[in-house]
Amino acid sequence: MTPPDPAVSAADAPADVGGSAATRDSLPAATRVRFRDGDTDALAAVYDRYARAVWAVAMTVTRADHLAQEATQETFIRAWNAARSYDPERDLGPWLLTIARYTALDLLRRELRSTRGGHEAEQDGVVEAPAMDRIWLSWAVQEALRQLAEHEREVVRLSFYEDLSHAQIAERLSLPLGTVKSRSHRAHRRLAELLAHLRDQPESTPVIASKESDEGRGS
Amino acid sequence: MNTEFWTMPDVDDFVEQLTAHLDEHAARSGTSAQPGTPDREGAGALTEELRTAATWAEPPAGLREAILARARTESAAQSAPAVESALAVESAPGAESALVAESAPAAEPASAPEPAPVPLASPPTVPAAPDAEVAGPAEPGWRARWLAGWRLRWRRLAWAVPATALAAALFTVGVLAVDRALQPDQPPAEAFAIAGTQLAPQARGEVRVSDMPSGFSMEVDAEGLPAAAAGSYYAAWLRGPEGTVPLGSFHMRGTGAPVRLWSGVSPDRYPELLVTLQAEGDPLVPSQLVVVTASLAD
Repeated sequence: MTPPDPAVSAADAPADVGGSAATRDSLPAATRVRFRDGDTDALAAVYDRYARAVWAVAMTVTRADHLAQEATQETFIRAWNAARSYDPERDLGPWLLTIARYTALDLLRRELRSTRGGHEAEQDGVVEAPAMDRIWLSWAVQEALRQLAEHEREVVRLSFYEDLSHAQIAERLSLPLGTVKSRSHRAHRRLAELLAHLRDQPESTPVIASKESDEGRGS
Repeated sequence: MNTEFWTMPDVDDFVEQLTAHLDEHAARSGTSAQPGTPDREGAGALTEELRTAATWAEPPAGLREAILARARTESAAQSAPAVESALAVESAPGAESALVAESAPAAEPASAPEPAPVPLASPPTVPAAPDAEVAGPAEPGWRARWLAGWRLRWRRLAWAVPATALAAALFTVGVLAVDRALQPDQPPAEAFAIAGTQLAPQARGEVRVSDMPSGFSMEVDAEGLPAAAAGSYYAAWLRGPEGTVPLGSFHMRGTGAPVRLWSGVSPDRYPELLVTLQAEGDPLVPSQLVVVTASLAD
């Protein structure tokens, strides 16, 4: 077993990633204890609970499937190797997010270093690391989406990702238009509630508002 | 300019306005007003996140098992010293105790090798089950003796491994030498310099063109060409007075190896090599994003 990554410390972990809603949705205490004690079944439970969020962070940072795959695997293995230093009294999410972020950034830096040509990595405009707020947003959105009901999540996906109108969603799901509209509104409200903690950024920069706010300050 | 989110007084207002933003965005989905319409309430980052493919993607199938297999392997490697010492204690009264004691130092924690990483998203290659079985505290004596005997036999045959490897290596070298002798001489490659455009000013290198029986082999050895981002790739083309011919595509996400392309038309008639940056899903014609060029004219 490799020693815990010194870069991953409790001080680096965001205090309450995902907010109280995510905390309510955290793993059972017994599972967290078994994870700390090296139980591979507990690792499986941790993977099932956080894989999508870790994957989203890895994709946000690396923007490449093959790198995200490697980053996700390394994140869970690093967490597994460092599990003895984990305090099972605390939520696993912030700790895992920190590891995921460091791991993905490490991989990205490795990719930048391996670019041939002898020039500085920063000159490679095609690959650049996203800001922490974007990584945090990816994590938080995954945490929020997983707490929506399946039918709510599907409406949000069809609306935002597939860019379907309410009428098109109604046709796709064979539902009355009114049902789709009300379901959509409920899903949005629930999503907004689950993401409400994003307005209380540690750096006092609301993630969701940061882009608009920057514009506001600049004008 | 909206700064309502920036100065949001309380959570309820925040939730109300974020809900309204999402509702409004959803109402505009699928309509002609959607593309390019700016976010009214400043929740653009969230909207963008919800519109990203990665947000809705599942981790690859098999990744879970790959991770668990690797964890089990590392776990088994850790418990190996305990297994060895248990075996040594149990078989001490027997004739092979010296052998077990002899092999014990190799299993000390400090010298235990790091387990090889399990390939990504692949089925477990090192099953942990046999080790787990051996690791049981109530190991029967016959089994330990059998294991020790098996090791003794294995040690007697240990010389055969390097000898077999050496014989195999010699055989391979011989086969390759004969094969090479029977091959017709490779035609000499002609090298041309390649240069990056303003989109990839650091790119440089050469392309080696060989006239082969099946076409023209073009080996592009480029330095300083960044890896194509996810969703994009590089495409190589030959251009001449008669049109443009595709040579193949690549992404440069690895390093070290030249890119081998093939052309069915002669560079004499298509003397300009182009490398363009393409977006996946776009039509298979050269994009306007030319990153590398080379003249193959003699």
